[in-house]
Amino acid sequence: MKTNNNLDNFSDNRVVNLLTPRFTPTTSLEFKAPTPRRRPLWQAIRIGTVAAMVAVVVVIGISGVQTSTARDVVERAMTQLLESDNYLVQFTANVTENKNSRELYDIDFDGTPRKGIVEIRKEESNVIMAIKWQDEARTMELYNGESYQRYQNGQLVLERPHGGIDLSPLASLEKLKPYAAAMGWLLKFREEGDMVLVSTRGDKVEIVARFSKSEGRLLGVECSGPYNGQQVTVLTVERIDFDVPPTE
Amino acid sequence: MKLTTENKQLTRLAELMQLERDHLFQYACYRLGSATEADDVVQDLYLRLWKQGARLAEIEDLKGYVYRSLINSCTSALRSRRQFATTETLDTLSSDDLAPKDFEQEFRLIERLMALLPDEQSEVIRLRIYGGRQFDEIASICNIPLTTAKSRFRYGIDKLREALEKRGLI
Repeated sequence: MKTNNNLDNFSDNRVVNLLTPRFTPTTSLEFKAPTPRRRPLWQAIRIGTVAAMVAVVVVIGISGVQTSTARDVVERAMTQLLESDNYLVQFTANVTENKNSRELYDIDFDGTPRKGIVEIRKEESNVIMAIKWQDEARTMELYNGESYQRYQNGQLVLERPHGGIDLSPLASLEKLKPYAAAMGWLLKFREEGDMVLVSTRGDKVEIVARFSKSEGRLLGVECSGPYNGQQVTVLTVERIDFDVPPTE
Repeated sequence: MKLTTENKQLTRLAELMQLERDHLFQYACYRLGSATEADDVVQDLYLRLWKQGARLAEIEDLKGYVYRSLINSCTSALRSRRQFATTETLDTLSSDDLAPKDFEQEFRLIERLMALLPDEQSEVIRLRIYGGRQFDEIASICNIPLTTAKSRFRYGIDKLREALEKRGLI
């Protein structure tokens, strides 16, 4: 059956003209097909997102050390997250530089280990996240919810209007809970001797945070994924600090 | 290199999303009134679909599925903030408002017009004008007959015309 898809048959042009967009903003979103047998999933998960996930999991895990039930752990973690104005996450990630990417580095199983610090800072209802890389150019990637900025050697070298990473869930409990659920962050808690392990596994990405009950401190966090038939660690968090003075 | 079933489906998804990117983004922009939020919604949609991996093969009309999912995502985003937002009525609309000078003004105008319509009519108009969909595609996305898609569009436009004429705005 031939269908008529034209507007002109029954539309009032004056009204349609009013509704027709003239000031549509532009988007820099790109959807790339996966490279066969290599980074099938990690392409879709950018390092900023992973870093934010790690930060939240670590917060949740830290709160869990001195509590007894999973419910207590989550509730206390949310409270701590909300009460902390800022926190720093020191990590090492296997990365490769990607000049076509919206971010400087991609997480890559074959990548080079590189250290960095994620700083998450809350300013009223805004959340700002910076990733500071220990690379030759002292790269800093800044997300403020509205734009993405890249600084190298202290100079702004790239700015894009849309950050792409939604940081707003980190601002309030109401947003964080459904966001965590939507991201598939199903947290599991288990104890092994002196250790409490908090893990979340979404898709093929697994994050495990390890804590010492007796010392009451974080031992480490690892983020891994399957590669060549093995579970390979690509991101490790060494330390997290709360409420430290903001850096420049 | 041989593609796995999952990679084939993810490639199919990526190509479709790239092809439809501007329309998906535009639809979300004029539904949510924020380019940043539209970006996030479209990207989150992509990630959610991506997670389905090889199961995407079970979806015959992937394009329709993507648009349906986008509509739901936008509705959810709006619902979470609807309690704080109020839409202005046409009573305070002036002729100046009919000539917006930027996206924000344009969105406010469109939102005020759309608020006059039942959801089923405004949705068809949005899919047609902002989503760039043909009527047969709209029928498929909304799961309605083609004639219904067309009549909802026509009734919606007629209603807006009458409202604007009544106020001497066109």
